[in-house]
Amino acid sequence: MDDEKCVIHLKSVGSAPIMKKDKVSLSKGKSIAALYKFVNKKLKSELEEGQKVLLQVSESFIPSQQTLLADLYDTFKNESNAIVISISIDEPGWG
Amino acid sequence: MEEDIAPNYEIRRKNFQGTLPVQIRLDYSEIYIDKELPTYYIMQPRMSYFFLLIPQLIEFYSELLEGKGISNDEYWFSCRGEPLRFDLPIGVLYDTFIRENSSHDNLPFKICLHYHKFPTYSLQKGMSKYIFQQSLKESSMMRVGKATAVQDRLEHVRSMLNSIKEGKYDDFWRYNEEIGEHSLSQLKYFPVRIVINRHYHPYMLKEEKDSIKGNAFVIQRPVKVDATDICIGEYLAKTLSKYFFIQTEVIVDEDNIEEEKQNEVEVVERSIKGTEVIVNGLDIDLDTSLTWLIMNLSAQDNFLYITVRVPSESIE
Repeated sequence: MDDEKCVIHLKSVGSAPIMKKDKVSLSKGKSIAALYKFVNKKLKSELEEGQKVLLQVSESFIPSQQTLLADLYDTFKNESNAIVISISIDEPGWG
Repeated sequence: MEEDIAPNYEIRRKNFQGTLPVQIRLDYSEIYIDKELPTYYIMQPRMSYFFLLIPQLIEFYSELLEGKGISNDEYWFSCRGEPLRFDLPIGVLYDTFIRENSSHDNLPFKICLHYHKFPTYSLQKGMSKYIFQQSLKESSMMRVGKATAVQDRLEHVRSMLNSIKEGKYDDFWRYNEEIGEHSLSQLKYFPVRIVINRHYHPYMLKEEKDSIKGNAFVIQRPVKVDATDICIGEYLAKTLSKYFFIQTEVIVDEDNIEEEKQNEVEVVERSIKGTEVIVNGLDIDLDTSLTWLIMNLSAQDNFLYITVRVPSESIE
């Protein structure tokens, strides 16, 4: 179970900087908190002081930090078997 | 089939109206103060959220907190030294951490309000204002595959949250009708969350164990609407096989013993004796219909919260 991976498609919205590599494969056992760390690290040089990254699933909701990708994947994967996650800055792209 | 699983409106109303007495003390360990500060007592709907109490607590402790320039996002709550998740209803937190063997000896629910050292290792700062609408959108995505009904009515969502805090069932449903009421044929999945009083998730990696702290873990497994109804025990055995398992027992029909007629029945067992299964303050038998629970005891964000309490003395 430990090494099952899933594909995350990271889409920037609004003023959010674009990820150089927008599709990543991560272990299903990773949490949303780990994904925040990953995105923040990748965008570090492009974010201004105090800007806050927000992640939303399937252009709709912000999952809690503790949510594991496994719990999102089975329900929210799209036709290409990826979880679509939007990156927005300070304000959620979809309310 | 639709008739069989329609909600019982009387139970749904009662489920909404459950309350808990709460005692809140302010953590003022970093300030010198020469007198004892008062303790705040309040009855709170089980379905409500602690973050909604922050403005009135700031007012109650204004003597100490006013003029300090503390933003509302700095406040957080703890219970027995552990930060409390903002995204779980008050009743779910109580069932998960405090309630013991259906006794009421642990009431009121004693928690502590903090205004410094925000525990970023387990809570996300500045998110409480979004929590209910996000949870509602997540459940809508599961139920009908889209969240536009919520998205387009964020004003309604704020009124719904206020109705939850005030315990006003009819007001809540007036706003929720367009957002949350769907016929069974429109639904795809029923949203279900298991909340366990352990730092455990079947998929959690060891490295994650160290990086996400917290003493309650949510395991999210929605149930397909068109699937055959199962009992809650079977659902738990499927999603939480570490703590629940199905055992086949042979029942010998004594009247027909000569024919060696035997019947096999499947029984759900707990791996650790004394593990409790609770929904909104009620002990739930493992053979209870899952659909019945979903229809009648779901929370206001449309998730059914099943608390699994593993006894604290058990060693794993």
